[in-house]
Amino acid sequence: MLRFVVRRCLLVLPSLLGLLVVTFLLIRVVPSDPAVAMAGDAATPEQIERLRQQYGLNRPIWEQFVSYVGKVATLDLGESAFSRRPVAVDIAQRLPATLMLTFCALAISVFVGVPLGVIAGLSHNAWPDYLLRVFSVMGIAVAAFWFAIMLQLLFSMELGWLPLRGEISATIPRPPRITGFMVIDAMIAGRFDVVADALRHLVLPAVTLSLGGLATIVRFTRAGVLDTMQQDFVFYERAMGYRRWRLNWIYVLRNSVTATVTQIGLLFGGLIAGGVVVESIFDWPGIGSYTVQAILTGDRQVMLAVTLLVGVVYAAVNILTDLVHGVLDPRLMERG
Amino acid sequence: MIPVLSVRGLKVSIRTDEGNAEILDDIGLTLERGRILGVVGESGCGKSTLIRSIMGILPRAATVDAGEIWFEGENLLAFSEAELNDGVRSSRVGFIPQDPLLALNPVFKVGAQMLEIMRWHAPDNGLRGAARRRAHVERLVSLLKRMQVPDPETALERYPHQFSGGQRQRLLIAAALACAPGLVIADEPTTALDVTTQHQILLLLRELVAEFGISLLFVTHDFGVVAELCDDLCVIYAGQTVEAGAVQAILDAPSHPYTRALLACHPDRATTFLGIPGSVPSPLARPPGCLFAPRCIDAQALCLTGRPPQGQARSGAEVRCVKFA
Amino acid sequence: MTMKGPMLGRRQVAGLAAGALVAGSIRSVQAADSSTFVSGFALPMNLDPHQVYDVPMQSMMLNAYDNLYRYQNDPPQIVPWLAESHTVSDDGLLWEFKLRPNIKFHDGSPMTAEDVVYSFRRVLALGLAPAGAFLKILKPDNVTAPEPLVVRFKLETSYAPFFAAIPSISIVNPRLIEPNVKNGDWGKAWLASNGAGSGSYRIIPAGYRPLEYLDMEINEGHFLGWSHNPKPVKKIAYRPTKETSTRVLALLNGSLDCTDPNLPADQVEQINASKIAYVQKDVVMRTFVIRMNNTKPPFDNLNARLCFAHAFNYMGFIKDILGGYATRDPYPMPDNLWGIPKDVKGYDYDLKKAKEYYAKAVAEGAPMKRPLELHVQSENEQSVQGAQLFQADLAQIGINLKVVGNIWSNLTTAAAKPDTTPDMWVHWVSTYFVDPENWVGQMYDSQFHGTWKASSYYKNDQVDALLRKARAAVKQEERAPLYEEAIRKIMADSPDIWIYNSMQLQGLNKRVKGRRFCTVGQGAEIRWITLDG
Repeated sequence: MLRFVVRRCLLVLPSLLGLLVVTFLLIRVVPSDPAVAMAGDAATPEQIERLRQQYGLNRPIWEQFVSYVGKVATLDLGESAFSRRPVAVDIAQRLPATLMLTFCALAISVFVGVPLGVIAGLSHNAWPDYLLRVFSVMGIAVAAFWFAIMLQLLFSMELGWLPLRGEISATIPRPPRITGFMVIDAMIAGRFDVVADALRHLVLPAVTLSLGGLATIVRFTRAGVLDTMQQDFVFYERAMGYRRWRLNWIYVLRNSVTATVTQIGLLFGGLIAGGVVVESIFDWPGIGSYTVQAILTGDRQVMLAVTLLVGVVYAAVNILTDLVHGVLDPRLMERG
Repeated sequence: MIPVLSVRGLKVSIRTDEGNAEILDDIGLTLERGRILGVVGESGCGKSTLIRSIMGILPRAATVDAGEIWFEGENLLAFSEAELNDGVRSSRVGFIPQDPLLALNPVFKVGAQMLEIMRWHAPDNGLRGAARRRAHVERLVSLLKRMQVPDPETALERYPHQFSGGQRQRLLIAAALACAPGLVIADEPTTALDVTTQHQILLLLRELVAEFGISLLFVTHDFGVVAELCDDLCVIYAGQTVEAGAVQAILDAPSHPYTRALLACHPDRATTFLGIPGSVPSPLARPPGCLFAPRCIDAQALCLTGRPPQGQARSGAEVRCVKFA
Repeated sequence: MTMKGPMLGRRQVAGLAAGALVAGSIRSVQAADSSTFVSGFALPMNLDPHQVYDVPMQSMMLNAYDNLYRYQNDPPQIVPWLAESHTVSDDGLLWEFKLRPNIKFHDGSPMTAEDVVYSFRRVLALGLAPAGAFLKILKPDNVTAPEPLVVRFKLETSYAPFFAAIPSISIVNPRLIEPNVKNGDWGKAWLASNGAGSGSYRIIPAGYRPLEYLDMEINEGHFLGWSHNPKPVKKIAYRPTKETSTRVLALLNGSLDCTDPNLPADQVEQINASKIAYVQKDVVMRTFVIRMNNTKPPFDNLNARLCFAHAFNYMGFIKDILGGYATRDPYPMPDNLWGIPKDVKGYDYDLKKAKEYYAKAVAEGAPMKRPLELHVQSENEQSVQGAQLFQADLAQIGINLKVVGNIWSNLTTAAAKPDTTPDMWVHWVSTYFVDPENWVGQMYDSQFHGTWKASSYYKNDQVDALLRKARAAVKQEERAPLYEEAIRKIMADSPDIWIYNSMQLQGLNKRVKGRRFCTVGQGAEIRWITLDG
């Protein structure tokens, strides 16, 4: 298993390098010149030229690339042209918020989607199945921003149950930053009022973000269950008097989620990217809004770093997905 | 003495988009205690529906239109699903499936699957919790030993794909016996195996019937297997029992034209390979007379008009043919 | 990206939905805490007032930092702040500012003239946005502290806007910055995420995440004291919103005390219908201009430019698209600023005249048939709609205009060179200092070619001479007629299409009292504010 992980990690490196090359070239296509924006609206050409030299924007592209890759290897992601802060610091600050949101969304998608998918599969062509099919089509078709606003209107405005936006209430002092995960930091600080407040802030963005994934998971789980129910062993297990719910929720389910697990892996990457809209509607201080800002301001270091980060996350999730597959189905692990 | 299993006049139909399909149409069979009854028929004759009816696991679209299934003096058709699951399956009726490759859940350890069955159905002998489970493991290990599965302790920790086909069939036989049932139903358990293994499994089954005091309902399409293993025989065609009686008597003097034709087809007996011309009538559109009449070389005008009654042949077998009425 | 007809955007969806809600009841989740002001003002790119100087920075630094002089009131007046007075030599080269005594930074250390010197030298050394007004006229060594409370500036040339630009420089505390200097960066990296000021509020570095949130707490020891405000805001929580819909909902449920001052006009009605909030309207000095690249035909032709100037439906745009929340401003700078030649009327929407100029331009060989591009910031729906309105009118007189969506950083980069500058682009010109130099001076003096502010690449030697003379003179009475004359000439040449002066719309919670508005900073100075309840 260790060998498997190490081998997969090594295989990922060339892809990441390729990703970097492509991103590096693509970003050059964007015409905006960070030096111009930095210098302000009354800056003279000399002032701009000075900044260009200062930030190495005049050097040949391959030279810039080599120096960039060298820095990345030592985890130096450069400095944001605008915030004047190390990109690695900005990302380290924001990543926990995005990960928290993504994991919660994924958890909702999985813990709601898988059971619904099983129910749909078991009640094949009966009303729960039809209902869930309609629902999963809607889940994919509905625009996230529309859904988010509806949730805000209902739960924040009309009922007043949940906060409208943000990671924590403005009037609550933040717990000392240890892990960067608000909920965990609040726990460490023993501030359970803050834990509750932070969890309440998570609900609406996580539910919004979970929607698309939820629908996908319902669909794939349903298909998996339908497929499994056709298998001989299900008849055998019924004939041998397995308890019905254990049969469905343990023995059938574990055989049905292979495709679902693959989808979850794909979703994770999608969620980080799809978080942009949700983070911006709910003012969630994560990577998504950071990326948008970087694109709008032409902040190349940030664009590069975020692309690299998403690539690494994708690769990690892929390896993790393979591992989960191996655990779920021992036959796969033997094949390597 | 009442028989272990007695099926009387069983009719089962399945609703399809094209209409009502009569899959079973007057099946009758009797399995006496301690004996092995072979049920023989071509594919599509209703063998699996018969097994499913006995186990109480018919597809949602199927209905039992008539008949009775008497098991140790109780009519199984009157049982609810819960009663069947709690009190019949595994604990009183063991099952050996057709394809050992597909019948075991591929992603669970063999031991876990067998213990899952025993957890709900094995007699507890007054034990509870961990002690009960230990007792189950012990029984499994001794069963696997008896089935000649090598290294039985570690076998429980392995996955189905790590066994050969023959070993897997032995595991399934052990599972069928695990909860000490009185009746075991075997659904073509040797079809997927090579000839040598097949022979070993049949020998094993033969021994187990006596050893464990079980009665065995053995469903197959293969007369050779029946000849080797069974005491009694029941031939079904198109959802009907056409001939039933003692194996030796029927093999010596097959009465029903279908039985004769089947036997003539068998590679061990056939002098030339003939096959049976024509095909089994569609369960959607059954001929009014004898169901075998369209393929019967002895068919008379009478055969085409009314269903033939049950009669008795000289061999002592019950036969559904006008010639024996 | 080409813009087609208007779509139902997020804001409209939210508008419709929120409108429905206002009719019903909204539960207020208003923070019971009347000492915390939750601000929706946008945050600057970072916290260092010597690196960034834009509208968000103004609203941040007015609270965290102090300046020698500061703009106050509406219309804006420049008033003594850290300095109690100043003198200027007759030739306009020597400026001396006298600091108030007993001013303390947030760390308790006293502010001296040396600190002011350090601040200006830092600005000049960094050479970033706020340095623009000073780089050409001030050498670092010529900022000195002859006495503990006197700062002296010796300018290279006489430059009247110098004084107007003084409020743009924040005075920072070298004792906090110096220990954090790395590789001679003047503490740039450190100050980007920290505070080193003396302002009414103190930045809490742990409560800062760039562009997301910022916390400040009151500086009880501010040099002006707090006697003017018996119940000041103790804590400012900057919680800028990214989406208009969220911004409006947050205002309506009481979790935001003010929005940023760029509320779209279509949100006014529903906010004013609520019990909890209202929309404050203020005329600001921010002009909306369609720039024309005077180096590219047909824009090098006067008649062509006049044709375009008559083809824009000014009042239609202001009334129908902006809901009337703007004032028509035909001048190349805000009409509420001095130096405007009120006798000149400017251009009106008149397609008949436009056609006449079109014919004249064609007769002079201008390629009026050439397909033209108008670049707008695609995220700004109102600009896009204005551009589409223009497109429709131009189509009537036979001009083929394409509306191109773009992003700000691309536009400013493109506008730095004549050949990459679009045919036309939409440009807002904000107030960085209240002086005609901020508008006509930097927009139409040809010495600024190569900056996006001068991106029409207009060149008129007489105008150059007038603007330079006005820049060098010190007294407003001398300068005003020079600007008036320059503007007359500029308007006759019609290098750009001047459309309106903005009215800013800001949503405010009704518990916010005592707000003071000034166009510089847009009412973001919190020290005047009290929260009811």
